[in-house]
Amino acid sequence: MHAKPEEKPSRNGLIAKNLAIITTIITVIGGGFAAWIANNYQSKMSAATLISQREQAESQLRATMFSNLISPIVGYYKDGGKIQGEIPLERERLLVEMLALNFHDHFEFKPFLIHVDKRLATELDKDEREKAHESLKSVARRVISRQLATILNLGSKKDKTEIQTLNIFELPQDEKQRKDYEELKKYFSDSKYKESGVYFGGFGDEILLESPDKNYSLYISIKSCNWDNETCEVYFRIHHKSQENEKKFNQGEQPHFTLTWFDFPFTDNTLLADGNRFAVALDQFSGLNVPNKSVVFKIIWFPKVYFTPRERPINYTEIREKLGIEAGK
Amino acid sequence: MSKWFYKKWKFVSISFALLLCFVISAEADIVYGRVYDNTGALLCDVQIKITGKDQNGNVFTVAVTTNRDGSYKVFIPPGAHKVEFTKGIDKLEAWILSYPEPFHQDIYLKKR
Repeated sequence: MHAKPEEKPSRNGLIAKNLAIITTIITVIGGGFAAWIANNYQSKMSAATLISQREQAESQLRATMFSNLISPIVGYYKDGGKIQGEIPLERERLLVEMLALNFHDHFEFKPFLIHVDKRLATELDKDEREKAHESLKSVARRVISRQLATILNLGSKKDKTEIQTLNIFELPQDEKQRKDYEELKKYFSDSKYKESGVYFGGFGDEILLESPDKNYSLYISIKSCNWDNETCEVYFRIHHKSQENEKKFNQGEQPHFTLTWFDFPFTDNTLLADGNRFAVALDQFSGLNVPNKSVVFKIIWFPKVYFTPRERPINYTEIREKLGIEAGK
Repeated sequence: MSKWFYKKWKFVSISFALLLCFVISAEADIVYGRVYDNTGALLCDVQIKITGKDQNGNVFTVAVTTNRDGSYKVFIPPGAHKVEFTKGIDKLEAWILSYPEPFHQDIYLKKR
């Protein structure tokens, strides 16, 4: 008996067999890859949905909180379901403080804060008024410092937030104190202070400040301060460098405003034509005669790319510009 | 009296120190920043002297030691006060401002 000789597989059969194996491997790898992509996509979608839901919940919470805080002030004040008329002062102060602390970046609360401060002055005795005013002032200082902290590192090297400090001293009546004052003025007029953005002057002095890009000269003058209410009359004029040689600004036309503790940089600022923006805020108020009364102001220059939440650009091209995306990319 | 004081001198001293701290902190607030000499170099680990008057007209002197990075922190009554430092044979001085709230000021010392 002879064993049947082994049949050699044909060339086509071998290719077909190999192809079947490769197809199977590709199918398995492809299936795994598709599953990985699907999984990745799903987890990304889940994360996006989660973030979106969290944002929605946060917005809803803030909306409810805002509505609950503001309705008793602007609407009818209810106590136990009954309409009670004007809201009690202490409660109004608390609600306005809560509003200012939680919603200062979106809304201007100066009118509310001034309203409460006026009520404090008329409805409380001196000691209680001082205590409550200090509380309002403390909230205002916290809001200002929070806002400054937010923008401190904004912008690029060439276009960065710059904060200048302006020390204004009252001219003392006493001869000895006047001598000290002159010495103090001389000391602070040193270029090292100017280089680090610290300026010094007296009431009525016109102090020249420059925008960080040196395009604007801001002449600022503090004419007077009300030491009881802690408010100051700020006069200013601003020139673009191209206007510097034009005739002197007429004093009568000089714009001015009353600066209070409740002027916050995010909501009370001036936008200039080329995108430069500045704000003036109170920093210190010392009615003590040691050696003389003094006030410190912060002059905040925002980066040009900054815009407030209330000034969202509606033009798509403008949004792209703000984000630094060039056309066609 | 002297026997009682001798026994309780630690208690009396601590109470007096705490009372003094309370009196100063009620009027003073913090001033912080860095100290530079007349050449513009940071003054690290040195003692500077601050002399001034509080709102009652009482003269005070405070010695402050700067840190390794030339920074300082001091509680002083509101007002404008003199800063003094002796560098070799040179007497350097400056002004420091203090307010009822915390205040940042870098001190640039100059030759008298």
